[in-house]
Amino acid sequence: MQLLLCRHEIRRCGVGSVAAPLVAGAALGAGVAVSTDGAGTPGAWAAGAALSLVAGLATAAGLSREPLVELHLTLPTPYRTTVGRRLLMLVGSAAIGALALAASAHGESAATAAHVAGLTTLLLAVAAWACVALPSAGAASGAVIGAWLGVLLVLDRLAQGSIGVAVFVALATLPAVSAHRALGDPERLLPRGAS
Amino acid sequence: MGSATATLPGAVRYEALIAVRQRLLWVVLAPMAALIALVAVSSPAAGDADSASAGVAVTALGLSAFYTMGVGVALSDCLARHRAGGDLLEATPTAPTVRLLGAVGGPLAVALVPAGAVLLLVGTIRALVDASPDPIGAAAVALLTIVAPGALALTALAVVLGLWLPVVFARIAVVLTWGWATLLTPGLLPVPTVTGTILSPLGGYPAVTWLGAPSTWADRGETGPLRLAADDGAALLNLGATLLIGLALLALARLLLSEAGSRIRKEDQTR
Repeated sequence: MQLLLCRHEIRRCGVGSVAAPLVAGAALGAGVAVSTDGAGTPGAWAAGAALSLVAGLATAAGLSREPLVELHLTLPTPYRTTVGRRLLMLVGSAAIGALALAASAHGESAATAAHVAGLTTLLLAVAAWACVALPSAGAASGAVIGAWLGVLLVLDRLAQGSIGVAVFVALATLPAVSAHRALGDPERLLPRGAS
Repeated sequence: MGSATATLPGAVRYEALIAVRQRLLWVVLAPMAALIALVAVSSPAAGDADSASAGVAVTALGLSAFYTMGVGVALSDCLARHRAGGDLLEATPTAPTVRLLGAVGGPLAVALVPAGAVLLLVGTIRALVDASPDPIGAAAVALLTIVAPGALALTALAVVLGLWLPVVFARIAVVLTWGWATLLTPGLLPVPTVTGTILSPLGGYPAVTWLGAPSTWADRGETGPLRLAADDGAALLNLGATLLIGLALLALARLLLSEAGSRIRKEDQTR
């Protein structure tokens, strides 16, 4: 039963969206493993940043594919639970991809792994919020790119190391709480001007 | 041809209006442009620049490297959505090429407005500080020769990929391709790239030659058959190559659209 539910939600997200972080993690991991300079810091850092972006874009695409929100609001299962299940599929895929990358980056410090995990958490939260608050998947993807650039260009210079990871997680709670509240409020889920 | 020149502005205009009303470009892209401009202006490269227009050039290169990525990702599904509207649009007398140019050109023009506004703001501030009108002209040159051609090339790639692949993969491919063509250097990852050559759509050659940008991959002393010394000719070649890539990809998008159209018509006949 649980397996059937998982398969259903994966299909609703789009198999491609759920598979993308997993495949990207494996491919980047293979690339880092075969590169001759043995996961040099810039290469591993770039691979981690790329993986977190792939996970964010996949989440933005997977969660914004629901064309029948009205129908979901009439079902006994709360829509928030449905979105939570889909998010779980995407998070699982991202986690497996990150593990694949971490396993191949031999001798890489735990700091890089923590950075990737924190950045991915932030991007997934932004993606979930953007899918609820913004009108289209294109806009949600743009928001993910914006958050990614903001972190790489600004935040990474201001807060480094474990403080940086703590800042990512703290920032992630804002969009996460906003998305959680919006998902419980039908007024905000239905397209505006429809009445 | 006469009818195409008459209908093209209309097609661009209504697609631009749709893009404005959807708000997506404003909510997402305007903060991104402001952020990139802040980072570029506060970077040491802009501070060290000796000529006033170089600060504008650094901002334009920052926008070209990062803002363009956001534009490509946000617009990657616009032709696929256009195609989904299929039969109704097929019934209009507008030529398919005109509709395609409108569907890509309208949203792209709207998406470039925040970048243009930010460049103009930076140029105006520099002009007031230096008491010379040069930076304002430099902002216009930067928009037309650095940001807009690169955005055209990447958006054309994005819409082709959006017609071809599931849109998630199209967006990921857009970001990876842009990073590969404008930012990735062999020092970062040992793979061949076009970064710094006249084929790179970043606009480094126009920035160095015409606006006096302090240092880009276009003039770091490395040479090769495609890494010309930065002068007027190289800048024109760079600009021409970027525009050519964009137009070739738009032609490919036109081909993909008409193939899809003929496949639908064939299915209709067999039914």
